[in-house]
Amino acid sequence: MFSSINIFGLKRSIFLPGLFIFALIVASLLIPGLSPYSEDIRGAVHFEESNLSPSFSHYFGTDAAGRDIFTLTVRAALTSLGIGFGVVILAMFIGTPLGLIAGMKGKWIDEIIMRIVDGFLAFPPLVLPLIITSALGPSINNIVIGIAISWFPWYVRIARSQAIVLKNQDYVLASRSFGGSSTHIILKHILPNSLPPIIVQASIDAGYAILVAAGLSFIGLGAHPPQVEWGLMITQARAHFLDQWWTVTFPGLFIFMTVISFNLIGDGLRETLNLNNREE
Amino acid sequence: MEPPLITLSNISKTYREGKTEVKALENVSLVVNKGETVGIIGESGCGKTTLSQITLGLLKQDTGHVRMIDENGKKLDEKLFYQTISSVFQDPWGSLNPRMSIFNSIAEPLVITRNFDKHEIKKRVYQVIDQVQLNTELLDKYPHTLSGGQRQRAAIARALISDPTLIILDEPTSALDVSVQAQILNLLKDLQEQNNLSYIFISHDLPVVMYLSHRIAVLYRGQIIEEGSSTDLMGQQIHPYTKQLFSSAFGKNKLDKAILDEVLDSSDQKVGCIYEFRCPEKLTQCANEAPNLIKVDSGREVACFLQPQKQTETK
Repeated sequence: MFSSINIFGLKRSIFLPGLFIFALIVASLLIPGLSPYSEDIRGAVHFEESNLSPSFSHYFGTDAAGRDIFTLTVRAALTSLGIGFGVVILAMFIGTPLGLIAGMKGKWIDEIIMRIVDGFLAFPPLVLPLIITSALGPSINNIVIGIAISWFPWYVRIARSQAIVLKNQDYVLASRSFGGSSTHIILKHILPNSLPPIIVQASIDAGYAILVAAGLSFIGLGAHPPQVEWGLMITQARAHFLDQWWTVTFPGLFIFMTVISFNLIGDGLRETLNLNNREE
Repeated sequence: MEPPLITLSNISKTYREGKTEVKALENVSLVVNKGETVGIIGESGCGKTTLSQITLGLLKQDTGHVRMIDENGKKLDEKLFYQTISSVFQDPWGSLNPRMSIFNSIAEPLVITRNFDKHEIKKRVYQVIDQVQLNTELLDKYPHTLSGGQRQRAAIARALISDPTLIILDEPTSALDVSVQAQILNLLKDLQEQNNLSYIFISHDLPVVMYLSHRIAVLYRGQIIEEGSSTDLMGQQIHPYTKQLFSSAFGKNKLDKAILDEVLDSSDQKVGCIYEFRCPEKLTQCANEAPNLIKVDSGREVACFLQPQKQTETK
């Protein structure tokens, strides 16, 4: 569907953050084989090396259990990125079809779907994932489900507004005049043309999902030791961070950079996609 | 005489938005014969597009019906209806899906009917793009890389692919450059001869309608006020509105601006003639009584009090 976008023609604003995310994925996959402290990932402890400040043997220092923070931080990216992608994919899969149907069909179907969606939106942003996750039991999977359920309404709204605009386009009318069914029109015309704003929203949301997941892990609802996750690393180190600044700084910095990267990718995609539309 | 290909009888359509009602079409009847082009002319807001959408089955009329017949004179069912009638829209920038290749856009009507395999579809696509003189290299391209004229050719190819007998042309040239307009009009004319097509040609551009149409219906505020063969109409216009339309289009004198500026409230319930506001030749009875569409000559109908008597006198 992005046939009109040349990968090498992507804006630099996508290229650099994209490279960062890509490097993070590769590094987190390779780190167990490369790092001399790879057993730390599985929860090994070395109390003789606890709370060492950053040095050439431990780039980001060590935590209270003597584990290498660099190795853990890089490995934790896998969990966090997994949460980010998981949330947006799930939210997109729930939200987009509902929104397209609401926008296409209108009338009472639209009313019912949108009032349900409004119900979800009535909760403050962090409260609903918190309730759902604690009801389902604290785990990474349940964090993903909790955040996705509270965020899918945004995808319903975007998809619905796209469908409302697109269903009156001449090519949709033409398709209907050839006898095209609603399913045909949604799949061939409405969905492909409403994807760009949905993908932009998804790439921005992926960053925020990581942030919220880190927040939920921080209050004990998400990852559990020996899992490694940025929010969990910060919560484990919060007692010592005044004396050992490196224990919270590096995981925090990675959360920050990842969220920023997803935001920049979202902005860059928006520019690229709009540019293509305007040329038409 | 062969029965008409498509018959629209007494079509009315009213749009309702809350309490306001807008009569888009009122008692419009129209027949199109095989191989014939019927032009429908009128200013914006007169119901042209509503008429085309009702004919295409995109809108449901309030009253009246659209009937199409096959070669044996039998009424067509819905599925065949979609294949015998097809359309080209005004805006070639909006009528092709920007995320579909030209090939897929042109093939869409065949894909929808599900009666064809891939090989047949490909064969048909190559046939029609040859008919509309479009380069085969463009088939893999996407609409934004094509020029306006190329897109409109692609849209015409899509309209042709289901082998229709009637194509509704809703201002097919108004978004194009003048030089491209001429090419497209000539193409439409050639295609009509080759495929024995009927057209309903909807436009506000009188010279363009005159060029292509055998018969013309003048639409004003949802009603047909004059209908006749294009040569007859060119020779003599009966209804004052048609007169003004012709004189402004062919440069004799410009439409009176004061008349055009008059605010039209199409929601009001008017007793008399719909053209009474603007009419330079109105009679006293026009304000109280609406003239019916009366046959004044063979194939010639007018809705005006002024003319029928005169016509019979001269005969």
